[in-house]
Amino acid sequence: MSTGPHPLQAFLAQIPLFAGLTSEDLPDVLRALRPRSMREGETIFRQGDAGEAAFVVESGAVEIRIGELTVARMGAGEVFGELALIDGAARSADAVCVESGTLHRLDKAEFDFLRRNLRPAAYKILRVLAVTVSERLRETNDHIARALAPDAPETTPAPAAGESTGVRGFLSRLAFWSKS
Amino acid sequence: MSANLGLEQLPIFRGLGAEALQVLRGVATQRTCRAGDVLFTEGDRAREIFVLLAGNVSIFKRLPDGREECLATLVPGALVGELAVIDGQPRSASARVAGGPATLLALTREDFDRLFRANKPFAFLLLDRIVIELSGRLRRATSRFAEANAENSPQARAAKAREAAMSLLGVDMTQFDLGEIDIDAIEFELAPPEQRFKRPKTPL
Repeated sequence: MSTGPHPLQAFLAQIPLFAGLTSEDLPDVLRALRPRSMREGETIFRQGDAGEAAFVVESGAVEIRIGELTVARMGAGEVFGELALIDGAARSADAVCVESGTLHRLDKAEFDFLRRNLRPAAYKILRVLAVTVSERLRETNDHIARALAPDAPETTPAPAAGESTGVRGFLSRLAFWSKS
Repeated sequence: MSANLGLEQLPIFRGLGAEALQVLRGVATQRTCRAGDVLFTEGDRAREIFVLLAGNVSIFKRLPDGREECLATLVPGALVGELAVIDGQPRSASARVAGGPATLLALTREDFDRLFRANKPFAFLLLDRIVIELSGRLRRATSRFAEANAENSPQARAAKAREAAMSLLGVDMTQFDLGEIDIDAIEFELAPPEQRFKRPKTPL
């Protein structure tokens, strides 16, 4: 029986989604987490697919796309598709591997098992997801307020420096917020 | 007096189980407010989550030009200020009692955090319900807001944006069929002051 820390422990410790997990929570997380390799060009999931897992990039890169529009690029240590863990709703974007590497797949069915059994690991993860959702709700709230002002020239939010402007920029940000 | 039924009537607490309800009874307090009373103001530090038991609460957002717009009016059964237990960020809108007297159940963020850190099922289950609700709202509000942006006239855009605002606050989906909530029963259920976890009184 291993007495040292699990090899994944150090990796998970750097990922905000898993912040607050203790070594006691680790066995729970490991039962839900499976590594798999990905090849450049491979589609991880498509818009409209049921949300059955979240993904953590260990190496390589994945692009999140709506049609031809790339809204995000996820690299090592980053998580995508995580909102599916909340409610399994349909994916709102495509996820395509653009650089071969290794993913860790966090299975929703296994996560739901932990959740039903009131395992702290599941709820610590859920709490981080909740913060993500609430941040996006707040952002959307602000944009809606702008749109409600009768003399608003257009609903496109003011872009930060370097961000794309106009409707494309707005839609890409919208999609990014709803990426699951 | 139906002392065991009051809290269970509320959709957010339905099916929580006896132990979780008992925990809730030990931390929740009841407030009675008058029309116009302020629950919280946009920009305030978020301290509490409320469940509306009777009366109405209106939600207001400050617009970029300085005016205040009423986004929605909440009905009994609704959660108010639920983001407080999630992220503790400043309030993104103001909430005031509308029309007539209102009665609310209140739970502090501090108590919620304490229960969550102690791995209390009540805190887990409440978080679960809130996050599912919020996620649904985000999806609906996002798609309605995309529709708003596709509109050409400012009036149509504003109308669609208002629908998005309703989705954001969950008002479009909040159709509770509660009948009359037995407020006396709920008050009777809550732990008496001498058994309550000691905390300073927070003014409304």
